[in-house]
Amino acid sequence: MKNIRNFCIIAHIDHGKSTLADRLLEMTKTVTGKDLQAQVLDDMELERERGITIKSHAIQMDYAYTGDKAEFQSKEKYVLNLLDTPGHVDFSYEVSRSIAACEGALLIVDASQGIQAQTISNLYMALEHDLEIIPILNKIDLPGAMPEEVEDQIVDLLGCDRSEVIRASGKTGEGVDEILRAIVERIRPPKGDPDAPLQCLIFDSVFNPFRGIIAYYKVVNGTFHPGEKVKFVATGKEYLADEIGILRLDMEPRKEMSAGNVGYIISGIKTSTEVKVGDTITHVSNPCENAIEGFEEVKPMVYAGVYPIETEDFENLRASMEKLQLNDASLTFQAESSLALGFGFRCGFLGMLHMEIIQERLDREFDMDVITTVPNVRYNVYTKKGEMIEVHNPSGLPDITLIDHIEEPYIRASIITAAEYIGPIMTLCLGKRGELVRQDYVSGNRVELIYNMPLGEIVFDFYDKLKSISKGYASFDYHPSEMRESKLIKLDVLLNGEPVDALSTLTHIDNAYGLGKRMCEKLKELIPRQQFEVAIQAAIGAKIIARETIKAVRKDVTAKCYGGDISRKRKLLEKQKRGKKRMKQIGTVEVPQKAFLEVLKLD
Amino acid sequence: MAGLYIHIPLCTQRCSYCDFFSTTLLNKRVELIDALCKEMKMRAHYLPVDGNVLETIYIGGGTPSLLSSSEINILIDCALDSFPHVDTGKMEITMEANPNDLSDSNLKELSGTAINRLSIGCQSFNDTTLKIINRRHNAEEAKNAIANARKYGFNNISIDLIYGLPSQTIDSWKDDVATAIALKPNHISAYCLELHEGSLLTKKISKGELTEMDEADCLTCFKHLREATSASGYEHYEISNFAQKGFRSRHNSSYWHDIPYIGIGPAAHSYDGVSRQWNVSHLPKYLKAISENRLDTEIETLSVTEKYNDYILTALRTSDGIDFQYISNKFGTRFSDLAKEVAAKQQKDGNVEIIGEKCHLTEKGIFISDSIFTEFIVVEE
Ligand SMILES: Nc1nc2c(ncn2[C@@H]2O[C@H](COP(=O)(O)OP(=O)(O)O)[C@@H](O)[C@H]2O)c(=O)[nH]1
Ligand code: SF4
Ligand SMILES: [Mg+2]
Repeated sequence: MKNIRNFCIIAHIDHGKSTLADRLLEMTKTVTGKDLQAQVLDDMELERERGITIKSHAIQMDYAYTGDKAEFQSKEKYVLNLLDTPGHVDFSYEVSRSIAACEGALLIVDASQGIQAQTISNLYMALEHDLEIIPILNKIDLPGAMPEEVEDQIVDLLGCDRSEVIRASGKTGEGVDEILRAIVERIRPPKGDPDAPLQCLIFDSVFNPFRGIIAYYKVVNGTFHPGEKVKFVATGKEYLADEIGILRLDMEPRKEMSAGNVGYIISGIKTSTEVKVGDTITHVSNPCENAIEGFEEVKPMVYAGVYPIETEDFENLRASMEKLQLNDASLTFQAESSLALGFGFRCGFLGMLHMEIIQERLDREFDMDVITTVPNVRYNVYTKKGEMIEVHNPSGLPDITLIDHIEEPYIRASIITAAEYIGPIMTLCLGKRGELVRQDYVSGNRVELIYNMPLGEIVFDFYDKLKSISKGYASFDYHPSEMRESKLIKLDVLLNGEPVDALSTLTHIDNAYGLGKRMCEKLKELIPRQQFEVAIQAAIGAKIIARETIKAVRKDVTAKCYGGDISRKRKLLEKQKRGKKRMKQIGTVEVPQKAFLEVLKLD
Repeated sequence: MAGLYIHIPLCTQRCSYCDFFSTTLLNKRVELIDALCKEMKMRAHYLPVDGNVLETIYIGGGTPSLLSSSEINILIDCALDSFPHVDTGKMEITMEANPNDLSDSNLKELSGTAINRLSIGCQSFNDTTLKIINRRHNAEEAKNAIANARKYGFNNISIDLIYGLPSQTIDSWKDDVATAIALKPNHISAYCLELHEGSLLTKKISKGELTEMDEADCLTCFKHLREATSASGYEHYEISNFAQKGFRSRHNSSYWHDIPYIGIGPAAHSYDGVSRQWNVSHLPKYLKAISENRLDTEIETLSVTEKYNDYILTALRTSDGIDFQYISNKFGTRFSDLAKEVAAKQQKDGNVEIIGEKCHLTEKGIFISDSIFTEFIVVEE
């Protein structure tokens, strides 16, 4: 065990985590020649394309220590387990479990960008778990690098010594050797007891079409072997360990896994929801006394309706969602129906990025054309009779006369930015009902703003707006804090007098009029003109608070159509027809699929 | 039966609404005539044998009236030489002409050619409007051209008009229509302005220098046009075309009735009943290819669905409309069933009228015909 090092990488998006990981894998010859594709760890097509890590990954490297410190020189190679983690707030629970499985972390900071909010919050998480932090100043090769300044930030933040910061470049390979040495020298070996009852911490799971659900874990204590009966503590389910082993580029079976090591287990699990990140695996015969601390049921933060464009695709959509869930247990879904959209599902997502990813995967991997409605959060609705109803869909709200009060989730948000953007950011947060808790200078002119905010206000276009008003110089992170009572009301949208349930939203009473007006204006842009006039109205209960009119098409005619125009005209009309097919007929009005989501993208 | 189209892509100046393929490279004329003749020989066997007898020739442009009568004779002789055809006396041979090319001397020469139909590009009888669209003739010349042509024995005359132009009003359009009818052309093509990407007019309108007529006014213009022409005995037989009895354009009708045609010249389109093809839209490239004994052309072979779509968007333009029996025979019942279903719904909305096995657009339907075609057509995933 003294030759094992378990570490993760903490980095803001684009600071070079994947590139540096590739260099580590190359230097340790974990990947060679033909397997050398850029960003080895991001193997999902979507991950490569977007340059983000969506799922956790783990990979083991063998490393022959080349340093000059006698106490680390050893005949045996070191076993380095790298746990790659997603870099987005949506997946912060998964990140926390990966961190809990490590003894050290590489803190990668882009020398031209400096420290970002996401980095800080993950860093705090790592410090809470007592991880040894190896600070790395990356992209040192960039002409715009500000090594001194960013090093100051790191030193300020960690209270470490300047000499501890390693200057590196994933591009040129500079400093990578030093990083490997530091991993051995500075990170302590795992502490567990191989003879104690078995405790493995699950930090991720993947679906394999032939082998079922495969769980990734770190053995915290104990030792286990293939063929033994194991139990997942939180779910209480028991399985036979068919195969266990370590994770290299592929899975490599082992006869034994013991304390300190990181690996996989295949045990014929069919349902992804049975493998919960944070759960503990133990032996059935000699179970551990306590589960590993920190297990939480991850709850969706955001809900949205997902509907097939063609009603008859409902069952296909269900099958696709089930398959997606195999890969992604954090996706929840439940059948629902909408007057406007027919049969579909109310899905729960970890956040907006997660929602986008699911939507994109439905499209790419399953060729499902869907309508996604405006997302909302979970509301606790208290009736006058004193019951509490959890509502995941604004149109499922009980009648207003039955409601005593409504609670909505709040978050604690951290925004790090440069001083010059504080003004506009504060205005933005105020508009989103944010309450400033604190304002701290992180270093130089970088400020951290802490806000309490309703989650419902940030699930939508908050992040995009933040990025645009700060010209990209603001980073954002949040954690759920509490449920709070709020004056929320339901805002309905009517098309030619027909309420469109899929467009209903819950909003704070003070924002309702402005929002109603802007939604009508936005829909006027999004809905194409039809053969008749279309009235768009926003209403609270029976009261109309805003209206826009889309004028009827009076003229849509091709004047000339002779020999040469026929092909051209046909192609044009065919294109229009395809567009039309992607519209949803609501009453007599044809509404484009994107309108349901974009209606709240207001400027 | 079949039609031949010959494209003369030459203009002395560019009309501001035009996105047609034409060029002001007038010095290429001789080379062009040679190439057109050569292409006719090359395409001598293009048409299907069961439909290769020419009944119409249409010399369009561009501005064919820039050609001399001897050049025109060369082209027509070559055509009659290259393709089987009905008796020349029974053929419709049209040439497009710019009003100010129809002087006495020119007309005299033209009357000696085989051309028996003139399509005169009047566009408007209002000088302000003619200036704005950069035509090189004025209202007076337009009026004289028609009378003159008659004088020289042309008794099948069509004129082109445009409405919806900047500077036009409902009243000025009513004047244009009245002037046109008083001149008693046998045929009127009246187009509602389409703004094409890239035309000068589109640019000026998007810059705010000019304003187009609003949709409701265009519709009023259209309705007036229908009333006035019908009161004077014209039949509204295609969206933009009006004819005295017996004077429908036979050549253009073949486009709307799935009849094969050959297009000669740069950018010209041909259709052999199965595939469509079009020559390169570039005069030097066209000339080069022909000089090397090849055709620089793109071909599109039509699937059954595409043929059905073509049928919808051509046949439904005409007052005869579509024929469900024909659709069922030619494309299959899948298509005729669908067409009937869509037609029934459109009839409820007042956009089409169904009479037995046939269905045509109503006045209401015509002005939104593209959206109605979209309802009828089929796209494969
Ligand atoms: N110049 C330079 N560019 C780098 C370096 N490391 C990464 N990059 C580039 O920075 C971008 C983001 O890198 P990536 O590894 O995907 O970042 P991640 O989002 O943290 O995984 C990519 O365009 C890389 O090519 C480096 O050391 N120097
Ligand atoms: S004469 Fe015809 S082809 Fe030439 S520019 Fe005018 S509209 Fe275009
Ligand atoms: Mg990455």
